Amino acid sequence: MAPARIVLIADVEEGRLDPAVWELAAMASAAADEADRDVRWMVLGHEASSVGGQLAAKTGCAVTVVSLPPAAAPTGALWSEILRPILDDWQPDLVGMLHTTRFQDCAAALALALDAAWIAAVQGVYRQVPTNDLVFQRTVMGGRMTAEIETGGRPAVITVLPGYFPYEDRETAPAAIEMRTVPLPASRIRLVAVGAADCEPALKQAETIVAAGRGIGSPENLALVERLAACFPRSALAGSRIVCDAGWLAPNRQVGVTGASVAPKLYIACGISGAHQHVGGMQGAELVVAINRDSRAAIFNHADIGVVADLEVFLPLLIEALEKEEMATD
Amino acid sequence: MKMLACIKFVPDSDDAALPVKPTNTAGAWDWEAAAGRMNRYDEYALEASLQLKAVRAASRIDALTVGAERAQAVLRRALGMGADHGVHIVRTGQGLPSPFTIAGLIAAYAKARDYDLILCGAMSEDLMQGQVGPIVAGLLNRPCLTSVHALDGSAGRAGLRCERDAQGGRRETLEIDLPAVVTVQSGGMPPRYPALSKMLRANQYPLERIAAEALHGIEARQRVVAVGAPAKERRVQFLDGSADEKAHRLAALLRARGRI
Ligand SMILES: Cc1cc2nc3c(=O)[nH]c(=O)nc-3n(C[C@H](O)[C@H](O)[C@H](O)COP(=O)(O)OP(=O)(O)OC[C@H]3O[C@@H](n4cnc5c(N)ncnc54)[C@H](O)[C@@H]3O)c2cc1C
Repeated sequence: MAPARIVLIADVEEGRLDPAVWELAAMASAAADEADRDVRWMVLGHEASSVGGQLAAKTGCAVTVVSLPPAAAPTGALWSEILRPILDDWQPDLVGMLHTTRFQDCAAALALALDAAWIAAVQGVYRQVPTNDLVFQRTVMGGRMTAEIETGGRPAVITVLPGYFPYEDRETAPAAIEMRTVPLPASRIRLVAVGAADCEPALKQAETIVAAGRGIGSPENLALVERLAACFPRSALAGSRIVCDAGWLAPNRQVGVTGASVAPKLYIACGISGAHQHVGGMQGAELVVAINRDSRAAIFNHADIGVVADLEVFLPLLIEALEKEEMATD
Repeated sequence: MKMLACIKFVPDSDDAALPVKPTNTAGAWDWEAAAGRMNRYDEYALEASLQLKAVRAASRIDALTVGAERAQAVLRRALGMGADHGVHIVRTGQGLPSPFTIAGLIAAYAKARDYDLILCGAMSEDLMQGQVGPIVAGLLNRPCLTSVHALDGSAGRAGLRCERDAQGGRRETLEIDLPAVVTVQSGGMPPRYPALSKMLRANQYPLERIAAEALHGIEARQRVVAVGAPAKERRVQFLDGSADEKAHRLAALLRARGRI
């Protein structure tokens, strides 16, 4: 088996792939050298062979499957022990995996083993003309700026942020699948339990979601946000992680990558900065209104209608205007 | 238990003086003009270490920062919150540093000092990478868990029990053997506020100062070559006028779209 220039890593949890994993294939298309489109998947976990087949059939890239016994719970520490010798043997130029907690646990160890760079939360990649060197793009400063990163010809391990490399299904000839068995290494980290996600059902059903961020200033101001939500039929209240962590709203009302993913008809973000971890959970909304006193806030890059205003002043006026409109038409 | 809490001095994201575009024509960026403070996730990391200290006999917490002169403010605050000792690795580099550079310096300091646990924030609020902790772990060959929000040290000497939110809101409980590195996420343990009397005492406490050049760091491996404006995912229409006019415009727009 010839080693590949680009290796994409996927893992299996409870028999399933992460639904964002296909985006790695789209990333690889953008990153591959025109002259050498050599991409291979490495998929690992319990019963990985059936998902290995899916990867080979849908992307047309060769797949190496490392199937593990059911006792091998998925942890970054275990992935690191298994992947290091294989990648060391292959010496790829680019290793791509999703920017999840598990891959963040092991990306550094893999990069150090390969004498590679590690670029985290990657949102874009292109090849520079005329050097043909890869340039990686990611946001900084709460999403208000982007940074372009180069490795000076060194190989790179990248963890890719879901939602930035749209993947399209296309017809391909299914590629070859290679099975590997590895001795199960000892791991210094053990997965003890996994609890199901707890999402407030109202968030999934709501047509309008009014979301509060740290910019609401104090839990007392939640009453304003609640009154705003009450102006809309089938509405629900949500919050950023900061607001839920502070106990201002219940944890199951958190929207974002570590909370609920929502897709209402209308999403009103009040005092939310627009960090990618939040945006990842509300990108699917039909119409996004952002209210923020900082005209430079990143949330405005993800909004259809923007209002630069202080919430304490603006929300009472908006509520009044909405209530008045209602009276005018009744 | 001997702990090292790594703390970063970051720009205050609410400061209007914080530049959000290149500060020179070569595409470089610095934030000297803006105010700074302790990275919020590092407050959580420090709080986690303080709570472990409360249940583990004979514990000690060293707080460490890598940064310019004014970064020492975060060590004062860490001492005020209850850290036992402050270590300032003085580094005056321009631009956005590589996480390998910072982690290399921390690992070089920590190497011969036998820390049972090294804690970092889940990410810094400015660069949002979350890489320093895992790279330190890799350099010191320690296991690493990222983004934990609860740490239970009462289970016994050998390890820690940690909780974290994984993707999609699922909650994982994991055990990690010591010595280890963890990165701490907001949530479980709200950071304490340092009392004024403790801050006054902290200001008198001598800091351990080391020049970055005096440590055997590692190569940067990657370099930020330019910063710029992010792409707009949607085309935003800003409403203008007075606050009241904006409120009426928004109400009318939402009505026109059939939302009320
Ligand atoms: C591993 C990990 C997972 C995460 N998962 C999530 C997640 O699932 N969901 C999530 O939301 N976050 C998540 N985060 C946190 C995320 O990075 C941000 O810190 C968080 O989304 C910021 O919340 P915020 O926008 O409410 O607060 P801030 O970023 O502090 O923004 C507050 C905003 O309010 C504005 N403002 C302040 N005062 C006013 C006023 N009076 N009027 C109008 N505007 C005002 C400010 O201009 C600012 O833009 C995660 C972080 C990590 C490390």
